[in-house]
Amino acid sequence: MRFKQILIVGFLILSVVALGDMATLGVRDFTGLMEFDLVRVEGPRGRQPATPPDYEEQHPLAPQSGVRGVSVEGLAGALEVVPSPTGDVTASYSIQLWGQGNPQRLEQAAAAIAREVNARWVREGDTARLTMGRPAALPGDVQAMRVTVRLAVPQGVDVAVAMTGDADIQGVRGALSLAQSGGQVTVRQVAGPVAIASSLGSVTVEEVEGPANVALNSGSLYMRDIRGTAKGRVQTGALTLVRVAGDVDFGVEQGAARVEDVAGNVKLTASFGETVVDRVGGDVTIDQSFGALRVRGARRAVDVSVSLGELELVLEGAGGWNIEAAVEMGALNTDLPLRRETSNLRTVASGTIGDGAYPVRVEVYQGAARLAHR
Amino acid sequence: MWWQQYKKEILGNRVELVLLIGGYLLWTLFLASRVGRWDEDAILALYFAPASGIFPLWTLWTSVQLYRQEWRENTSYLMLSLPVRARTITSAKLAMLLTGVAGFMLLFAAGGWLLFERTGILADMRATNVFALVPVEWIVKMGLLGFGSVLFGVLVVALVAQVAYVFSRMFGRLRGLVMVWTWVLLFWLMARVGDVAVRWLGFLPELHMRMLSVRNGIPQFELLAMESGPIVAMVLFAAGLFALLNAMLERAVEV
Repeated sequence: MRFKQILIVGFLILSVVALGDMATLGVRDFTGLMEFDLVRVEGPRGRQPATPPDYEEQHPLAPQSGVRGVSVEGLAGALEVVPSPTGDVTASYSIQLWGQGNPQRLEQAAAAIAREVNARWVREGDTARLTMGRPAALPGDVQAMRVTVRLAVPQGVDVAVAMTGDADIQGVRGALSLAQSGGQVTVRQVAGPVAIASSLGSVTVEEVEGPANVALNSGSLYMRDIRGTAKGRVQTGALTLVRVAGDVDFGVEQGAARVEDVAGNVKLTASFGETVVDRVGGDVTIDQSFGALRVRGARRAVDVSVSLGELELVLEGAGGWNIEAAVEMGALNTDLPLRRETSNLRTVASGTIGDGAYPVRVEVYQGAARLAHR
Repeated sequence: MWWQQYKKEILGNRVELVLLIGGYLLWTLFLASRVGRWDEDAILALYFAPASGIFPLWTLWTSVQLYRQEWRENTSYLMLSLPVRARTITSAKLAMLLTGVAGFMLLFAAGGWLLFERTGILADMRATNVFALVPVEWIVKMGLLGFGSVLFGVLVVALVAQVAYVFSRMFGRLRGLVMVWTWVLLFWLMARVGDVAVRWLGFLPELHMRMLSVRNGIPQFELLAMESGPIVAMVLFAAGLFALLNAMLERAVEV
């Protein structure tokens, strides 16, 4: 009987705790859980063909010396760019084939594909252009093929690429321009400036010394450790920006955005998704519609407007702010010492915190707002 | 003793098992006979849609029914007075349920294969270059993983339902309310256990799995790294529920 009593008492205690917990359950409890990486896809290094190719051949190209700029055009496949150990630009490409024919037939198919690919250098002054064609159709015995270009670029050489497929670009000590679609892009340790226009892809940009400008249509964009400015646009996708030394200026349409640790100013336009901005050294200007906006750790001027969504604004540090916050058709919650006026469905809170050095303007339409200071 | 108990559970539920399996078999054969007359998408929708509703409901209902009928038919006294440990009885009941689930899943997979084959969808898939480049070994592994995951999920849900029912038998009144609340409470607890596991079992090694994606016409494996903490926590949670169920039957529940 004692065990039964223990069970019932335990049941009652657990019920009280659960009720208390459920009563305070909010959307953030679920989104908070999602902030942990329960499942992570390893990068391009963790990727390999499901079955090894049945045939593979290498095609080295002549080294190019005295080059200040290199470009790749027409590639449909994969591109790998690494620093060149010499002063020359070196390049090679491989053709991998999957097929059911005998090796001789596949070799013949590879030769036919190589003729259609027809990779060759075109010199225009101190610029070397690698032009490539793409086969119109796969030869009969070939089920799949992949062309991979490996490019080694010396210091100070600018790189421009227009391609379809995956790109892994590392250690370019010059400017980079990439127009790409359908694949995964990794850009790492590049001097910059970096300009990327991508569609239907997953883009990772890390450790850029100069400014980075990325326009992505459908996909996810992850950028970290950008020493210059970070600008761009993400349409239908997710943006993550971590550690930017310069200013941030991004537009995110139909997607979530997370921006952390920015030394400069942050300017964002976002819609249809949650936007989280954390720890900003400069001014914050955000226009958010159809989604929640959370700005935590703003230290200077803030100008945020939210339509059809909730706002959380946390000011940080010992600075001073002159606050003007208006909420229409929603609640305004704050512990800050602000004057509050309510007329019809509009609530306005205003006042000065500290020396009032920085202006804070908040406009929320059809949504709740919470203002705090930490 | 365990085997006898297991056979008793199977025989005790044979009517509904036969009705369910037979019914779905007939439904599959009927749909197979409609190939060429009805739209392919409609046939597949009519095949998959009922299973997605019937299967979870049957699992849930049977989980409770395995114990409910002991009290309803006044065999609970016999069950509780048998000279065996409670785990023999509870594991036999769970094994019966999992046998039914596994049988239903195999039947469902075989029926799906039949319909895909007859509608020609499977032949079209096989004819694609991409399909030919996917290793059969990987497809089999993923199938087994999916099968095992569903079985484990069913096991956890069944344990929650059974613990809730047996716990409610300790009360003289409002048993239905106690059962429903216990059910809610255990799912809340499960969510919290998962939450804690993410934070405190982060030191456990990650699990790796190959996920297939097709890039530029080439099937490729991407490595998925998964936190093992929540999975370990769910296994421990299920083990805890099983131990609690046995303890309640042995030491708390009265006839």
